[in-house]
Amino acid sequence: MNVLDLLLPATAHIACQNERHRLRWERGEIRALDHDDIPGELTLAALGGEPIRCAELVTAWQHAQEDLRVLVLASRGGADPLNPPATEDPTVSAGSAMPQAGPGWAGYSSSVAVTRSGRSNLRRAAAVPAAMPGLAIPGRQFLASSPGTPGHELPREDPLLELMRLPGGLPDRLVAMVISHWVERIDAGTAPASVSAALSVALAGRVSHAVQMWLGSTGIEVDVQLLSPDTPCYLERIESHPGEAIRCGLPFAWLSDVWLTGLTHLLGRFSLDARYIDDAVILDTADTALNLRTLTLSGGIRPR
Amino acid sequence: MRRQGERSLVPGTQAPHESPLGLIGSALVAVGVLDQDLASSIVFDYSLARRLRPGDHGFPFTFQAQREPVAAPQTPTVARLVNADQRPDETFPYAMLSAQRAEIAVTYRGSDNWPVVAKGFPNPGNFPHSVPMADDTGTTHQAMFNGGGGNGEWIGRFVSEQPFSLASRWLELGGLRFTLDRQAAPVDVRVEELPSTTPGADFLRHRQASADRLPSPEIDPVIEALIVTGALASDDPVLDEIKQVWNAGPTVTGRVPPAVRRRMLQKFAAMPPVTAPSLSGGAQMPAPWSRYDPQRVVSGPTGTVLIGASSPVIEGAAVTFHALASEVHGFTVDTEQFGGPPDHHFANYVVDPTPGFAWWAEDDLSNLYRGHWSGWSGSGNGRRGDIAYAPALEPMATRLRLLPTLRSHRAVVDVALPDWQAAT
Repeated sequence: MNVLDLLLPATAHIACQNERHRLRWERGEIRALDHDDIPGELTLAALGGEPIRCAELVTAWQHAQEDLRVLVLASRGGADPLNPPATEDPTVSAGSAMPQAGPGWAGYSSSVAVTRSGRSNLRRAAAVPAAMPGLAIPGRQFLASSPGTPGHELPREDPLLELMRLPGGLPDRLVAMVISHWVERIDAGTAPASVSAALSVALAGRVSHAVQMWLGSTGIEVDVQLLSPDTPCYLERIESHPGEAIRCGLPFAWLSDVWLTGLTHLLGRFSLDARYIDDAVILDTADTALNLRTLTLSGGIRPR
Repeated sequence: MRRQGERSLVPGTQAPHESPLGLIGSALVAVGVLDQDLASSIVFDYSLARRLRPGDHGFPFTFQAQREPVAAPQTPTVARLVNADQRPDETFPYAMLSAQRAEIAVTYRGSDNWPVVAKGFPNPGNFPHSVPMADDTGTTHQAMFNGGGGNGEWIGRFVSEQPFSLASRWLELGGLRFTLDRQAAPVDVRVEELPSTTPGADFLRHRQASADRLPSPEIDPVIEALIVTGALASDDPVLDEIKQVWNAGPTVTGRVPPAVRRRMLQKFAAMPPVTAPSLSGGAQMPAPWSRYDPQRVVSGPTGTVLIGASSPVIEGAAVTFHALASEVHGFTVDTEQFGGPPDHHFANYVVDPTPGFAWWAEDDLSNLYRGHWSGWSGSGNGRRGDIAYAPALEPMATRLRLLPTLRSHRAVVDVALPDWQAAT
């Protein structure tokens, strides 16, 4: 069973072409509900037409849904909140979805340029370096290029930033897409060794947060080992550690089966595994004394 | 490295400018564990992650200064300035001429009463911000003051960003004419290869020696990263060396908040003991620190020594020394550094394995000196200013070897010192 089928649809209202448009995610698909022909509109934009923000976001999403960088940027869980998404105001949006930072100031003007999009903000972003050709720090002086300097084209903001700032729960769905993709690759044995560190840390960061929230302390050391799919998972205390420390081994699929569905801990227990059968989920859990017990939640698991 | 990135996202653990990610990445690239592009992309991704979270305060995590390859610097012409009384001028002790620019050093100590100052100074009214500089070919350019001071002391240099004739016999500054007394003989410069152990140990030794402040708290996560990645054994003797320099406390370090020092010493105390034969006693400081005593009681001579020497490019960096100014409590060397690691506030997010210089020096009486930048300006591609050395120069020494040291090589700039007593 694909965990994407368990997640409820999500809709973000965004500013596009001076209107309030909808981006909707459902069962693994992202769609721009207010546009009939996204490929055609992208073609027109490429030929010099007006950029269509919905189309650009859909394109960026499609590029990002297998990108492990999403898991670096995204929240690790409830104890790791991101800045709230920007309020989308159609009246300021008429242009490109992906704003450009000022010359030589990659990212510096982002708080101006990214939280909203559109021409007015592009103008503001470009105005920052023009008004501040140098950055003075006492005892130090360094500066980036001047506008128009050859070889110093305006850098574009990373599209992932805008995707992760979308409202309506869409960033969580993008995270689900990425996790689901890599669970499938690992199961199929097609995940390259070059991504093992990124997979391992993506798991470890989220397990650590979950364990700390479960035990109610951010000071707990959590040592996480990424297990291959068929290896039994484990959870144990590290007695030799001077403070409180937990060691656990989990497969990457824990992220899709347990973390994505919000089942990391419930009833005072930490979930090591979840199996979805029909309209029920069977959880292998551990209590704070690390005694194992199986819980079953039945009924109403699948979206209707 | 990614684990450090995860830690940096935990609320309240690190201010944005305290991130060790760039340094860890630079270390892992330097020892050959990580590809530079991969390390840079990891740092970049965590900088984006940081921007998405509360507390980013608009910090430009993703700022990247343009770096340019370093070209070998030319050897500058340095000359003592002789005033109208046919004496070496004390306020304007020397000039530097190159194909790119010209400078006149300023060491003013005297009255803050400007009407009084103006009697002997180029421009009345206030300490001059800009004055005309001219040579004997009729060339004139504006020279800007680059330096600082107050309360009767102004130190820096007047800089013309346009060159003057290298053969000029005199320079005028604001109408005051100085004859140029060029140094008699060129200074010997050579490059020496340093002994090596392992890349990880070499990196740490150099990092500690080149740190602007000691103890350097940034070295702790670097040690952890090198051990985790297998680039350094957890019982490598270099850890004991670093620990001993730490334990030496203010004798070799100073300038460290007590809380930082306590925290670092606690971490070192938790490390497994090292039983390397060469350090079995544990009482001796590792070389070269064992010869270094910044608190050695010595009254340094007073005067200026012209140097005018440039190193070739080694390990991506180069250095030019213009002149040495010795005083009772220490000495400074007018220095220009080319290349080296980025040194701006955002360097914490830059992966650049280029080493910075450790500013060692030694005299012919085996006294060791260590320097750090003191009063400088710069860009992403270099620094210009003074290296301040401690302890004070030994008056009996007849030669000083400036030893700007990188990770595997060092330049040796051999300077003949004057007979200070005769000179005064």
